[in-house]
Amino acid sequence: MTDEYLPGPTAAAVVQGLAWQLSDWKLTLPDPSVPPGLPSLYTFGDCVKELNTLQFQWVSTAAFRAAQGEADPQHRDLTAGYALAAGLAGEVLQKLSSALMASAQLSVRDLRQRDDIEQLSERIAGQGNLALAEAHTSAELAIKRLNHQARRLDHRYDGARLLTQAERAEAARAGMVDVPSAAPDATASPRPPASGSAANRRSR
Amino acid sequence: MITDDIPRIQILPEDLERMSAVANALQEIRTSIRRSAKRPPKLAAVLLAGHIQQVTAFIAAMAIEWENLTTTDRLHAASAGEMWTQQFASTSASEALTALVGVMEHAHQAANRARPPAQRRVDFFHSGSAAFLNRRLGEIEAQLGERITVLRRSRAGLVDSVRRRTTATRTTLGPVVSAEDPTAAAPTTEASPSSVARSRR
Repeated sequence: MTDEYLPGPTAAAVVQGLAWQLSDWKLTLPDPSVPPGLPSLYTFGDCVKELNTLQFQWVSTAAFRAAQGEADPQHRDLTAGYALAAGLAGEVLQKLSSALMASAQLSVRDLRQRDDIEQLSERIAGQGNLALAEAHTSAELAIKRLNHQARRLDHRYDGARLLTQAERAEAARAGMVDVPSAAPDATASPRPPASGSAANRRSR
Repeated sequence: MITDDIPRIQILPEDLERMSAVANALQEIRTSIRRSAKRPPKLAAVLLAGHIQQVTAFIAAMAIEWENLTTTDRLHAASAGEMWTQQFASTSASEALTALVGVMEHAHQAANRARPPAQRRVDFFHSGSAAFLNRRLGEIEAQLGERITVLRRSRAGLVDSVRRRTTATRTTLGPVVSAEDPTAAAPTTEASPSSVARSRR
């Protein structure tokens, strides 16, 4: 599978789409800076909110799909792909919130009235930048894992489309394929990014 | 009456434990948010960031549980509590997280309305935001409270299903098993989907 792989109705393409969504979000993540510099609370808040939105969508989609009781292996692998993406996003979110905490500590007025303000600010900013660097690494690893999973799915199903229950029943009638147990139309595709997402912001 | 023609959803004792644990973890976050209302407003940034950290840790834990669940063979035979608890708790926490970040952004904007960008992080809190902060934190706390209630009621509904199932079995087989603790009496029991659905309402 190449990077030019176009999203289509295969589990691999959908999981690849999740990796792209996460890559897109990662572009909004500020780079670590030299202490006492640290991105603002506002910047971190924005990043947390966007990633939380993605994570929410992935958890909801995974849960919805799992509740269908789908037995088709490709559909089940796709559900697992959504759950994987949600889990990875959760880890990144956790790292990012540590950086946000450091930024918040720097904003407290009492801190600035201390005699050792400079050393303390530098230490807190150092911790924040470290957490931010970990968030970057974690996001990078998450993207790699999702890409890897997409390649695995592509290899496993060899480009076979995700079929709806009706399509599978039709194919079974035609004697083309075995139909696993019943399930509703579970051919899912990634939801469009929420308005105000990274992609939209960049295009504006 | 329990009929055999309805497909059964498993209710495992660990599901009931998990539901309790998840509800308790959400309750801890809720209690912590409630306490924030009594803390000095000048600490708002750190308090909010602390809540955000707590909630993201919770979301991450739920998501990882979900991930483990779906990458094992258990998914197909997933039980009622397993299917639903993490997702419900995770999405509830996500809503709380969005709200907390929104509160933080509002407080930040209010404090920096007339400040140049270079000074933006310096003054996070504006005294005029205190009432807003308390009101919004109260709303988030109430929302979490509702979700915790749903989790606990659902658990109670499942326990009730287990108890009824145990009673039905005892009626058929005679008084063999003590059902004082329904989860202990029936390590793996089942309820109809309708009873689970009822318990969730």
